[in-house]
Amino acid sequence: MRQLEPNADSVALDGTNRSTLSAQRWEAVQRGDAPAIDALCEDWLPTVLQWCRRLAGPRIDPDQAAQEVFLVVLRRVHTVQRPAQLPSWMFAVTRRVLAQHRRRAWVRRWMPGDVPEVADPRRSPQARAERNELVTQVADVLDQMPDDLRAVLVLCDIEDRTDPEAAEILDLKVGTAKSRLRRARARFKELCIKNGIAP
Amino acid sequence: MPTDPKLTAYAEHTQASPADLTRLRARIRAQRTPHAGGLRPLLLGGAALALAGLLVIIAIPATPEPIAATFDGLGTATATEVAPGVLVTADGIGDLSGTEQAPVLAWSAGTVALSVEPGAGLDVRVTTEEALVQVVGTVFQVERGPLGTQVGVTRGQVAVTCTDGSTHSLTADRHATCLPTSATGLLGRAQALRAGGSTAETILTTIDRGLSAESTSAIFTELSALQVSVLAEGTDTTAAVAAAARHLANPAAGRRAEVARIGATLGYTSAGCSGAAPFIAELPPEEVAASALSMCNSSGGAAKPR
Repeated sequence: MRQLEPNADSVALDGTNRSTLSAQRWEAVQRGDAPAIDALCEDWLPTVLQWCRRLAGPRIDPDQAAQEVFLVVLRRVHTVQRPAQLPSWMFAVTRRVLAQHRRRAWVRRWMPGDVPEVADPRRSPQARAERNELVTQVADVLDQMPDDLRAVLVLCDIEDRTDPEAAEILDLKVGTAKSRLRRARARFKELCIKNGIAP
Repeated sequence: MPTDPKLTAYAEHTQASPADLTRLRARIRAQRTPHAGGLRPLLLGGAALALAGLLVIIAIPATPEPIAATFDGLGTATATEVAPGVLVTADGIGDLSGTEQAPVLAWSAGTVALSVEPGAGLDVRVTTEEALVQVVGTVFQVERGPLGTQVGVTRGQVAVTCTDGSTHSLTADRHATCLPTSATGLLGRAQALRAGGSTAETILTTIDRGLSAESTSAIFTELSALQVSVLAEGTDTTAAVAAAARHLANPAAGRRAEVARIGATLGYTSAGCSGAAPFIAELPPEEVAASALSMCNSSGGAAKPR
């Protein structure tokens, strides 16, 4: 059975899958070596797609957003200085892309005339039929949470990361991440009660 | 996995499946632009292209017409004549390249049916992660799903080479299946087998093959966690506990709390606190405090539950 063990010359890169990347591979990424960047993208595909789904908000297509994140990654990942910065950089890119999508979605709401509304894929009849009511309610509650609190809640309570991991990704001190998580949990509970979901 | 059942349900619903990843991969591939490596490579590339173009014009008067297309329509079958004499009916994701005389279809997911005019000197190939399908003149279908790649022939003859090395020569009304060989493919197959109600033995064999294959730590995590879950559903508690311990012994493996929860529960059931002890450290302290495992912390007792 194959075991993935970090090498002595490797560095932890990713909070979710705790993947490691050899120094040699990281150098190849920084040189702009296409196969190395492709391999790195492959490692991050599930994490970024899940981030997009969990942080996107209404009227945003998370698949489209994830696709745009990777187009940025393919162009810009060689500018990341140290591999240890990769998780927070990746998360920041994802949040920036999602913020752009949110702005576009907001503008679309106010544009007069025949600008078509982009359907929220999570709210299509088919998607609604597939997901149970509870999941819909949780998504609605998350959509009502402030961006910063939602991010830390997603990382710690949905993706099962430790406080230090979340702090690293959010580029915060561990203490700040912990207190933010406490506030996020309290806010989530409060919104659950307000939305009629059993705490 | 989160301890709050609401968040657990949400986490499961928003998890990326292998099919989601395949779709995203295809979308990125379709849109990506070459990595910018400075002006010099561009100039060199431009010069080389110009020279190549000149050579083509001067020395090779009749080169085959290159073709390229992307299919990205799961759920909507569309028929396209991609080259003279080659009709492709695609319901899924794939990329077409090659020339009009020798089209190559790299098929990622879904079903594709091809009709190739016999005797026209066409060399049509369909590649998937598991198979290479070659044909001269015939009508055949390729379906790529989580269980592998299935090739069926309606008319003519098709040669299939699976990536595991096996070869099949198929005539009309015959079909062959090439099983996945990559860790990602084997994970998809294991999940599909589980969803289809296959026996634990079949699923575990597939998982073992996946764990032996080269993979990213994310795929390893999924395979290993699935192995623990499948074993936990069976009667061999010892094997399930051992698998959970192996999973947690690997520092690169994720889903630690979820696997630790299974290990602690089974360990406690079979051997009391001493059985649960190796897993308790991976669980959130508040979860341990709120469960029967709390007595293992306070007294270090080895009482086996009745």
